[in-house]
Amino acid sequence: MITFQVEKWKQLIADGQKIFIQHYDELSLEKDRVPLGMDFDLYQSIEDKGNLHVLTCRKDGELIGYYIAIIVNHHPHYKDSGPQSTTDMFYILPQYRNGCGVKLLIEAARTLTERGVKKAFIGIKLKQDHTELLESLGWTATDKVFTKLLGDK
Amino acid sequence: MSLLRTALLEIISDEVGILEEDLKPELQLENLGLDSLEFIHLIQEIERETGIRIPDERISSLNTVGDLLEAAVG
Repeated sequence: MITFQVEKWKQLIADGQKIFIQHYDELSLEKDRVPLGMDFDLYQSIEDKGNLHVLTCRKDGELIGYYIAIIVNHHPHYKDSGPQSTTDMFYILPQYRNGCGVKLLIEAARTLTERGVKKAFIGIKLKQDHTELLESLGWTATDKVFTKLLGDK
Repeated sequence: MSLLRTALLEIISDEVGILEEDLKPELQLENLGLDSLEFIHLIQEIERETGIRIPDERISSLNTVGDLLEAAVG
């Protein structure tokens, strides 16, 4: 049975380290210049401050995906508009991409709402474009994000 | 079988291309061959055709065809 649950960061990293690597290998765009180097302690400190949202997807208890968001109690521009969240990462193992992803996103919105979040942000890779899926779930495309690697390396 | 269940099976059958008689309650939704977008279209099609709203909190716990029928029929 596939289940979705809000968990603690420690629970995720106990099971998630192999999937983090698979996630990075599948989606990272600049492996030669930006190696994976997750700062687990930093995530823990964010959670300790009440600003981390960890939602997992498990099949018969085995981790098959996750959605992580960082919550700010209010955006500096909008101090009276309530908490906002930024999606840090979401992933479903390829062999489970048969409806799990949409359920994960629905649960993400639902559980963030339960935490009081008023506005959620999510980004997608151009090479794995989920625009139609997100729009069908009520998300609105509002921004384009550009990145540039800086320095001589 | 109620008319609503019959209608639901017809909608699911049309969407997933599986004969209604093969849509057993215990059949896992993950085995219907749908990706996420197709899955949410199925839910939306059921809602559009029947006027029934399946709450978000039910959608994530839908594991089988039987669960889906139960969520829609109530």
